[in-house]
Amino acid sequence: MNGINKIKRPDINNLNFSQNNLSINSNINNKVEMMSSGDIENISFFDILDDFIDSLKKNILNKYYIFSINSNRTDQFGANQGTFVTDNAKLLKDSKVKEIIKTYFPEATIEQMEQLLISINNVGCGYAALTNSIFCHFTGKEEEFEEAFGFPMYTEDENGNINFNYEYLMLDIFCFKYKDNSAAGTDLSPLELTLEDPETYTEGSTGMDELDYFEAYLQSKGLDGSAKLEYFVFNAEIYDEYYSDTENYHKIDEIYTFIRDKLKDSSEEIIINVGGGQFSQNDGYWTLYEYNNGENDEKKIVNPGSAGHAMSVVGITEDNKLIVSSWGKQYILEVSSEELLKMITVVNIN
Amino acid sequence: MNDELKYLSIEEIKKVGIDKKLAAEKKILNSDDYNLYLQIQALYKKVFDNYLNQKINPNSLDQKIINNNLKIRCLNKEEKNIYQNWSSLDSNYLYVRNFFYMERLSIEDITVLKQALVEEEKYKKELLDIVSKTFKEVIKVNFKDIKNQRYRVFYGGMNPIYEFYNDSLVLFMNYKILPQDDDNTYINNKSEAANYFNYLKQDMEKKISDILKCNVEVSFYDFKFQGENVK
Repeated sequence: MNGINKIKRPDINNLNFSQNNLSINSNINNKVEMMSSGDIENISFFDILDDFIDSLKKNILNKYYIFSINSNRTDQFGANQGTFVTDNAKLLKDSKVKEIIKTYFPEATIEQMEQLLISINNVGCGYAALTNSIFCHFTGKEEEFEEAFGFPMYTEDENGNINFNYEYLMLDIFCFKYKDNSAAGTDLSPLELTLEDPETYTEGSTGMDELDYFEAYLQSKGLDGSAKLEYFVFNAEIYDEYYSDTENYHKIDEIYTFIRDKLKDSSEEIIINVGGGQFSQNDGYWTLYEYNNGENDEKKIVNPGSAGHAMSVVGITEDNKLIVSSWGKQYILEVSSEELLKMITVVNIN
Repeated sequence: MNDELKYLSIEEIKKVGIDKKLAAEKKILNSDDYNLYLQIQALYKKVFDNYLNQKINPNSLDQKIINNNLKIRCLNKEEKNIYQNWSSLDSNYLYVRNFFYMERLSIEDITVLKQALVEEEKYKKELLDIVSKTFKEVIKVNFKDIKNQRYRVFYGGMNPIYEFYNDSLVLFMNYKILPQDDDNTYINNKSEAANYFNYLKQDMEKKISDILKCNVEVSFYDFKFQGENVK
């Protein structure tokens, strides 16, 4: 790191352009909400600035602009739990990965380590989102990150490309959560489970329930903070009669005001958890548009009955489409009117 | 020909979500009685798998694995998921992952299937004709209110490794890696199998697609990666 924090937060108020002068992407066709800035700093890292301006031109409210900087993973936008499967063999050879696992599970065999990594892929959306929140918080504070977590926030190759160490942090959070606990729905630890029933484990936690562990995790690193479920919405038509008297119940349209308020607060990161009911493709769905170089690429329809899914919320367009980071990619999220459940978790790190 | 009828579960049918109104109109679903639907679907699926056996010779994949001396094994019955156990393909590894929506068949075709449940041999040719003409519509994932568009869907939970086009014939292949005394050998065997299947995937998709004249996607999974309720 050479003692230099290279990633700085650009301040949109100091940039010499206005939103009105920016071209509007016809595919999205919506203005974007502007967020207030973090600390005002000189912009010395121009690659980031260029990307940031580019992203604004594409109507992205880029709270997680850190994820869009040039790196040797050109298609990566935030943490991706999928790498624990796609790069499984490579990670098993990584001495830091082994070190992290052995810290929590000293007796782990290679096959148990393999299964543990795969488990993160299978249940890891929440861990990826929490990792994104931490990376966002430590933007411009890489030395503090390394001091707290024991490894650098990123490594840099000979060409200056940056490779974020998302996997180390996701793995560390995951192992911390399960070091003293059984896997969800079983009496087995993640390691014991690997030998018994790997499939059962995939039906376990998304990492977004029982969030007290996250506060304990931060404390173990000498940090203060929390991740709390602060808001949830059920489809009004279907759930009014069941949930209208429930504390924290909100009408479906109110959620977007809540998200806007939180996006403007640079000290908080937000995570949305959608779906997760026992419902079929006839009961509603949510849609992800893959965001690729400013073009809406593939339309992806997600059946909410299949599983819940947590994503980091990056921004919001004028007509309430959410910009999210999911599986290490940038998407536009739309939720059909029949979609039943949305929950917002607010992450706060001090 | 594999003569055994294999049934998908009612739980799976409810989870996937058929068009119950249309199924009731075509008299293959009576309220919450899925029995006839399951039977017709089982017969259709058996005929389709045997159609594939004739067209694409899935056992040739098993032979390739043996001939290339890969350090992998097929799954046993307990390890297989519901769709692999539903399969009548002539392969220990390959199976069709699509759901089959019987309510999309015409009333005439459904009538033949009902009669074939009693006298299958008599309707052998008609069954093959029905399956070969209708399977592209029967396997499609159609979310309501989304018409005339092609899109990607997730078979199981939202995970890019289970993402396919809604109109694709989706073929899964599950395997497991043999344990080794040496960690490095084990990891290398994993890498070797994954590399081989990635190479094979494109070739298989193109050839099968050309034969069946439909979009085909093939995906390979180490047993430890499987688990369709992923998040």
